[in-house]
Amino acid sequence: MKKIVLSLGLTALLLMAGCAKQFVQVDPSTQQFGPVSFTTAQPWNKVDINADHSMWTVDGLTLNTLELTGNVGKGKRLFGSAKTIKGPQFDPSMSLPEQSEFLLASLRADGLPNAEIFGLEAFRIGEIDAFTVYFGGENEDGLDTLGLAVGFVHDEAFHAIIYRAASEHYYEKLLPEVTGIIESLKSNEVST
Amino acid sequence: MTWTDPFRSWRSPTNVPAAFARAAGVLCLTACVATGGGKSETTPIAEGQIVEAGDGSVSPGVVDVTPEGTDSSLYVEPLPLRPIPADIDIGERPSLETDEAGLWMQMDRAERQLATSGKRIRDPELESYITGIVCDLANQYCGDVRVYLVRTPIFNATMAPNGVMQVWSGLLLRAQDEAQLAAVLGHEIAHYLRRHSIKRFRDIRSKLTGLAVFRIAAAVFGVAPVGDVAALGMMGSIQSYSRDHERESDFMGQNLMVESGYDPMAASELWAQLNRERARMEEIDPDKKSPRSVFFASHPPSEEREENLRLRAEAFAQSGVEGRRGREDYIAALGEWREVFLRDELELGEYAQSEALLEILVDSRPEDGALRYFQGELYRARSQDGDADLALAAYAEAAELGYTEAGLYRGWGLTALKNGDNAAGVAALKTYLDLAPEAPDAGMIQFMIGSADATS
Ligand SMILES: [Zn+2]
Repeated sequence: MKKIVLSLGLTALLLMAGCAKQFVQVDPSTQQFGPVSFTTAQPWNKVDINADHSMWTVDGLTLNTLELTGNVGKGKRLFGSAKTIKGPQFDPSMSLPEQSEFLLASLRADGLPNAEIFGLEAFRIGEIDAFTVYFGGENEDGLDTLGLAVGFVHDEAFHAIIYRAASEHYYEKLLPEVTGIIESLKSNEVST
Repeated sequence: MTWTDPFRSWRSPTNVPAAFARAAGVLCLTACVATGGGKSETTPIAEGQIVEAGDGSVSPGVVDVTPEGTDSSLYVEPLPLRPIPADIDIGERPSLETDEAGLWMQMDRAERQLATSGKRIRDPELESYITGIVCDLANQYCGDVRVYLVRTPIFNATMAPNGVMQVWSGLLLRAQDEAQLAAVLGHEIAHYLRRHSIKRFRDIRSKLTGLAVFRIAAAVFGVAPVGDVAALGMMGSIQSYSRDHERESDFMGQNLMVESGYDPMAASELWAQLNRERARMEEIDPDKKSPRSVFFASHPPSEEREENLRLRAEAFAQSGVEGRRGREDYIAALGEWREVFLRDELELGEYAQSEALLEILVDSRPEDGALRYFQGELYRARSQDGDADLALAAYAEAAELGYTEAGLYRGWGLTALKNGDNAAGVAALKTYLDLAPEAPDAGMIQFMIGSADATS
């Protein structure tokens, strides 16, 4: 397993979590994420923030990040407590478009202050209603950022897989891989 | 407008100590908000009472203008009322060997980050409008103050020692007219003109060591990270050093308003509105279950401040000062940003605060359909018992008032669907798509319409 120096922002996040975490390399494989699984086709570097939250990158967190955050229950925020403006709280009664509003508002509070959506569609992961959203904006350092996310509710809790990358080069570079991950999503529940 | 020298009939207190000009120290509105606040122990000064200046020296706190019909034994100026001179030359930069120069250099570097931040509002028209107000207030110091608009939905403005002023969007949303905004901008300019920051920096440095100094200095001067709410907490923790500076900046800012032809009562009204917002918020949420806004938690607005500025404004009025408000100009200048700021406010998820704020804005502009729409959006987002009905009523009022933005029908339709009224929901969502066929969420809304049709 390969250790990688943490980027500044994540270091702060981990310090706030009161622990020292390290990246590990994840080779192409099938991964579990709450009630679903997905398959990666290339190596990633991953760090677990906690049991429900991990961050993945290929070129470094400031250039491309795949963030998995799950089990966000009623009254909880998508990105935990490390942020200055905390963003809205989840409510299980949210419809799909409202879940996407929740995700976007959370992104605006989480370093993409002027994030806007470019596309929003419904789709299904087995029996689970989900959405995909394309978005973009400038991050707090003024870096143009593009992103693609999937969100869904299962057992009254919100789950999201969020890809964000610098719009120049890095977004396109991993887009096929991320699209593949989304297309590979499978529900762990056997439909009856 | 009748404008005469507002200070003509005021007796300056004798021998204003030179040290008063130098004593003081803060530079941000939150700290101003903090002045008084929970720790408020001062009220307007009684006649004959001795007023303590920033350096501990004293001046008589009595003014010789008594509004007609006012008992002269009660009517007093809350602090020495006089023109307050600038303490910095036009275009001045501190000489390199001073600690002030080091502070400026740090602030210059922070300014470069601010200039490229994604939180900066880059709208040449809005920037030029607000810079114009600042220039008017700062007069010959116009070239020394640089304004940055920051998209952070918290009521705040800051002034760094090198003349960098941040104006946060939560302030732009709450100000109801140009004069109210000018009250805050004038206050910030006063911090610059009175060099409050360097004294504050020295205060901080004398109490802390090492890294903390830089972190807190950056926070106090409101430069790093941009729009960082955590910084407000730090400001709050040291705000007690700055009480005299805040009062002085309030008064000097109000003087600048008058010199620029604004109604000085707007300054007091803005604080009154903030006090009202806080009180109403606590009424809506007496158990304090909803998260406290950083602003209200650490920097409560002050009745003292509202009252002092009101007394001064009344005195100005007695000396013949009238001023403009610029209400419609202000709303027009905000343009589409006002709805962006309203959306940002709702996205804080602090619903008691947003409800209180929207009530105040609706009271002030009952004819404004956009505000009703955002009340609907607030209830839809809060989604407690009864909120769906409140939302539907608010959307209907917005439409009645002539609000025609597509988003109205999106919110209306989603709320109706959730409320089990599929026919109304589908009809509203179809109207949304008719009005905004290219909307980025059109695919999702089509899906919602299809699902509702299938189940009805
Ligand atoms: Zn201030």
